[in-house]
Amino acid sequence: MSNLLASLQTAGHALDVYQQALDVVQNNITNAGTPGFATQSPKLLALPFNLSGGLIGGVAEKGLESARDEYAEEEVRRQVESLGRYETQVQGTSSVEQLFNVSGTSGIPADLDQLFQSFSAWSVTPNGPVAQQTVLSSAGQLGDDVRQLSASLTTTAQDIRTQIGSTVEQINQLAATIQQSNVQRLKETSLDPGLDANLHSSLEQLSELADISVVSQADGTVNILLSGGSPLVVGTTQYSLGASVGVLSTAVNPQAPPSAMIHDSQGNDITAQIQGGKLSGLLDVHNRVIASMIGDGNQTGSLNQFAKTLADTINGILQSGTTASGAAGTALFVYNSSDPTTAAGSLALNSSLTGSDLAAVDAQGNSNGNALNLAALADSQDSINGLSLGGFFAGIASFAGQESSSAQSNQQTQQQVVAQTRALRDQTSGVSLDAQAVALLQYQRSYQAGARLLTTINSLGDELMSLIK
Amino acid sequence: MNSLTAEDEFNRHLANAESSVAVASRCWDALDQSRREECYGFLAMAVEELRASRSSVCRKSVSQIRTHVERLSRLQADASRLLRLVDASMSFCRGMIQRIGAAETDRGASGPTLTTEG
Repeated sequence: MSNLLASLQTAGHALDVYQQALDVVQNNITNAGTPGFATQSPKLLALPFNLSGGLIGGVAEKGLESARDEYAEEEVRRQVESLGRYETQVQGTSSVEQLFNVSGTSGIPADLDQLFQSFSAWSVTPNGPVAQQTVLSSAGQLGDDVRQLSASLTTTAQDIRTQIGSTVEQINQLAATIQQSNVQRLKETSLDPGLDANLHSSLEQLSELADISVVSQADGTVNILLSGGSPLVVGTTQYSLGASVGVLSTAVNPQAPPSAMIHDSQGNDITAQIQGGKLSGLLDVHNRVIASMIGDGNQTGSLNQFAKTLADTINGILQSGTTASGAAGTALFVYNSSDPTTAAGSLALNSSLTGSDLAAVDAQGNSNGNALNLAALADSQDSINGLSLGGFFAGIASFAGQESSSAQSNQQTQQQVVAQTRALRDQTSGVSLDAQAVALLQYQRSYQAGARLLTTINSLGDELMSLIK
Repeated sequence: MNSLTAEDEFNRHLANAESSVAVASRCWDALDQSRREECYGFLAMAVEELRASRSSVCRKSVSQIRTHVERLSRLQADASRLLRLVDASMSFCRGMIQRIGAAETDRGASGPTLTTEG
């Protein structure tokens, strides 16, 4: 009788366990679309069977097992970081590229052509009021457009600084969510799938914004560090980041546009440590791409270099000569020379100049010598860094275009890499280690074969280029 | 009947290589073995075509240098993009295999270490 009762008791208990297992399956189905959710499976354990010892056997549930593989999650986050960086680089560099007119039909390239043509026409009638006036209006237009471009780049930099501030805010908010998750985790006795899903969703969102390292602790909590080592979350403590702008007091150019900086919770500058995620893309466009044009504390900026050289070269020629009435030559352009980074933003036509003040006569007394020298600047290949003025400006525009194109290409490829890594994660999660090991070895061998073929293609390409050059 | 010049041959082989790499890129699927094999087939064809291009160049000098260099650079860029995808897959597998290796050491030679109800 007691055996029958024991059997019924065992069967009843087993039904309870299988009911719980069915609930887990139902929960998996319900949460299939929940961000960060990983399939859960019940851990079932066979109970010892020894009737004489009072052990009636049966089955017991020993909690839940997650199909999540932390290595695979880490790989996805690593690729998402790169994608985040490329995405903001694309946005930033596209905004910069749009400010340049590379066709030459308008904007600065057209203004330069117009100015050199006006010098050429002036050389034919050096005392002609119309030709003189055309020089002044062309120079005025060029000055306006250089200032406009400098102002637009400055505005773009300001927009990016705003985005940097809001990205840092998002990072701090996500860090706060993870810190709360750690607090909650310490209260739980076993893994809560919902809490785990929220945590992993937050981690993936955070990796899109910055390059992070996730260190899982034995108590189930996670510590988050920026790749440079600065902590964001350690146990139940959050360390907030900050963003600021400024020019260091030790900078060569104290009036320069400010650089964007990121600080840790202690106020230390950790900008250089940010190497991934949207934040790094924004910092790159602000502190490298735009700064290379409008300058910063330590560099003049190519647009300022262009504006200064343009003004100094043309002014130098005019000031070396005289007007038809014998008056000393006057500068055509003016700019703020107190700091090299302010040249483009202040370049303008000398407003005190009239047409008759233009010094067409060169130092040797040739009546149109200066006008001819100025017209010849159009083709001079040694005006600035071994290039003509037009060629140098085209280089700035080309740099903007190349940065944008490279960022777009990287973004497209990285989108595929992220999709592929997610697919690999999903394929390998929840599979037994033995099955995984066999499949992964096969995959790896196959991938190596593809990599060898692609490397051969690139080597043959190099060889062919060296043969036909 | 006109015979093909070295230039024509070079162009033909290079065009075939370009097309093979483009098709290979479309075929690539890290998780589908048959698609991967298809992809490798096209890559192998591209290698053969480039070797044939090299033979044409070696037999006789080929002109239009700038155009050829640009085309070869584009071909290399396409190959490099695909290589990034392949590399990412390899890196994933390498890490997973290492992780499994670490887990294996916890499981013992004859399979998972059994736990008994305490």
